[in-house]
Amino acid sequence: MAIIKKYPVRRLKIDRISDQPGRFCMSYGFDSTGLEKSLAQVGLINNPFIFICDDNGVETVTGFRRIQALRKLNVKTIDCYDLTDSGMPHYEMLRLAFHDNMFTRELNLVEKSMFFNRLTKLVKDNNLIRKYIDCLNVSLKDYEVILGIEKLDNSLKDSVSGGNINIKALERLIQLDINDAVLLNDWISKLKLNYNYQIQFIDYIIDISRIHKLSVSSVLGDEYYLNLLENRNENTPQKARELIDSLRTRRNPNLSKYQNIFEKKVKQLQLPKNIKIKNPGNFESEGYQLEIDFKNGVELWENLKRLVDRNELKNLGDPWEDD
Amino acid sequence: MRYKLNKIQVEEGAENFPLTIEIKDRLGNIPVSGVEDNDNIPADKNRNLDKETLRLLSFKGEFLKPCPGTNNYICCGYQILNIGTNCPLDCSYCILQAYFNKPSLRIFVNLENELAKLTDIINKSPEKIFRIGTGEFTDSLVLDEVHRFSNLLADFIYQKKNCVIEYKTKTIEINNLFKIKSRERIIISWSLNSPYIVSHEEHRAPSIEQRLIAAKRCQEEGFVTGFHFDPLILHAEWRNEYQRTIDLMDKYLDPKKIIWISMGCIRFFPALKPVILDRHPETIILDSEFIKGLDGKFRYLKPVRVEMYACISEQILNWAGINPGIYMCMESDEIWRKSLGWSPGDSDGLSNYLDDRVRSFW
Repeated sequence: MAIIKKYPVRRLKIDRISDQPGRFCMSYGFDSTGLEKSLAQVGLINNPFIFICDDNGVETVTGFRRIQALRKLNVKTIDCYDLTDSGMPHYEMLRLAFHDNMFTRELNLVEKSMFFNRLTKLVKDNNLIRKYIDCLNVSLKDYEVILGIEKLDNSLKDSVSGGNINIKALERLIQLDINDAVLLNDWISKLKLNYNYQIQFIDYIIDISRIHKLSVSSVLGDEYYLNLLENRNENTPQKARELIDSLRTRRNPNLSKYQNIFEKKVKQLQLPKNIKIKNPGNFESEGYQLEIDFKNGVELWENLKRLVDRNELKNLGDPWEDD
Repeated sequence: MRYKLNKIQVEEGAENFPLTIEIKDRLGNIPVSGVEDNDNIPADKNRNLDKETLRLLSFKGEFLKPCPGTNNYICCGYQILNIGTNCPLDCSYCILQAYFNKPSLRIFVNLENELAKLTDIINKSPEKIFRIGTGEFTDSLVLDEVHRFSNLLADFIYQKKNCVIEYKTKTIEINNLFKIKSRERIIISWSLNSPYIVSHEEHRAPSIEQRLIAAKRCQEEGFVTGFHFDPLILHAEWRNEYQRTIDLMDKYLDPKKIIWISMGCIRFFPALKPVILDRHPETIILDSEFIKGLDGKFRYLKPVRVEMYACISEQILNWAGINPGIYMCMESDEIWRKSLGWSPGDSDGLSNYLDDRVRSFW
């Protein structure tokens, strides 16, 4: 077990300390209101660790949030533990920062990305990196995506740190031109698309853009979509559903047409509400499904009897037969 | 070698196999290095599959495995003989891009040592016809100049009366085949497509005409041939484009020397899509409409598949005048009936149909 050494305490002007997370810190998307209140009431309990660089700039090792909060409180100087002459390797400083954060709170995805980007600059041992991947509960298949997060635009990082975007959606966005990614994220935020819709939305837009050789912005700049976004007669979930339905139809016109024909045919049968005819698996299943809700055997028998007498059921067939 | 190799890597444990030594001799000028027996090296982030490195290794897994198939579609009951993985050709739709995350062209140099195990498996079921193919995880012939497995396996199959072996290729690497002593129970087959798809999607592969000239040469040399229209791909004028291929078949082939012709519309796991878009952004194959099939793979809608199968099978029948063993790969009973007017019913039925084709030739 390592023994915590005593490091010299240095009083520094707060302005001298960099306001960027630098090589060791991993804080993003935090709300410092509570911390500010605490600092205002009882002062600084845990002093940050800092490192003075060759150019005399001061980098934070631990306590980035505390320093930022103190800045907001207009504090001018701060006592920090100085690691400059400690001989501590940079990897150990990162490890110190990791432990300082990790065991007091859960890192968000942007922070995990910040950590792995810093770690991989300092460490080449894959086994060691793997240990941190496990420690942070990161799936191996998501690792590359997480690594890419730090390079994203701030609006995207805000969505990620707020947990508003699915990792699979993010994986897609990272591969796009940054302006396209920001635009798509903007729509996702405005329409509060759920995770499933996010993936569908991105996939449809990318496909439509590629197939029709249109930019993402011109696909989304279509008057129909802009009007939909501004429509005051619909609530956000309604708009989201309408957008996805519309994109689905544009991407898959034949499938949509067959679904419409099928639904129209079923509607024409005027079945009671408790009886449904469904098309499982986008017509890929062999045949269709009949679903009957009933309270007891007598009701089931009555429903079935009513169905048997309906000659028009024979008209139900594959929708492309009418095409 | 038509395909450029820059280096040879010999994995730890593969150094002393006779085939390793032979390959190093054959490719004398190519630098050789030893590498760790470490199968955990993923293909790099840029999806560089390192197709110019030849990696020789001793394969630890099972060499002979039945084609996995799925419950929901009819499978032909093929046996896959695993001779290596990856391929120097660069077809945009190739599943190997996503199926294996290990780079380099990999040859299993311990194959010869494992043939005794294969004999045991085959001898245990003397009543069964083993239709074995080597073209599942690599092209059967693309590296045949290097490993010469075509000769080794032909000798092996010759002694196994209940086996046929199919070498499936897109190449014209046929010279070693003519050194095989017997033609018995050896099928040389080619993947075919429309000339348009070949030129746009099958990068580094020979043209259809070159493939069919090679096939003609094999037929003349006494080999039975097979053909696989797989993947069938929707594109502009696809009917006319596929007819162009059939016209070339008419020019070069004797349909009586064809054991089977399979058809399969394009299908792929969702994970392949981003790989295709990344490695082949100009591809047209993803422009069509797809639905997720019962096996989780993307496929064309039913009516599209039926139309393609019905059209191309009719084109084949019109040319051949006889049924040259047309079958479909991984399709449902319904699609079979609607496209071809009959169905083998299930996977056993299709196996029986193809076994009968084998019996009719040997």
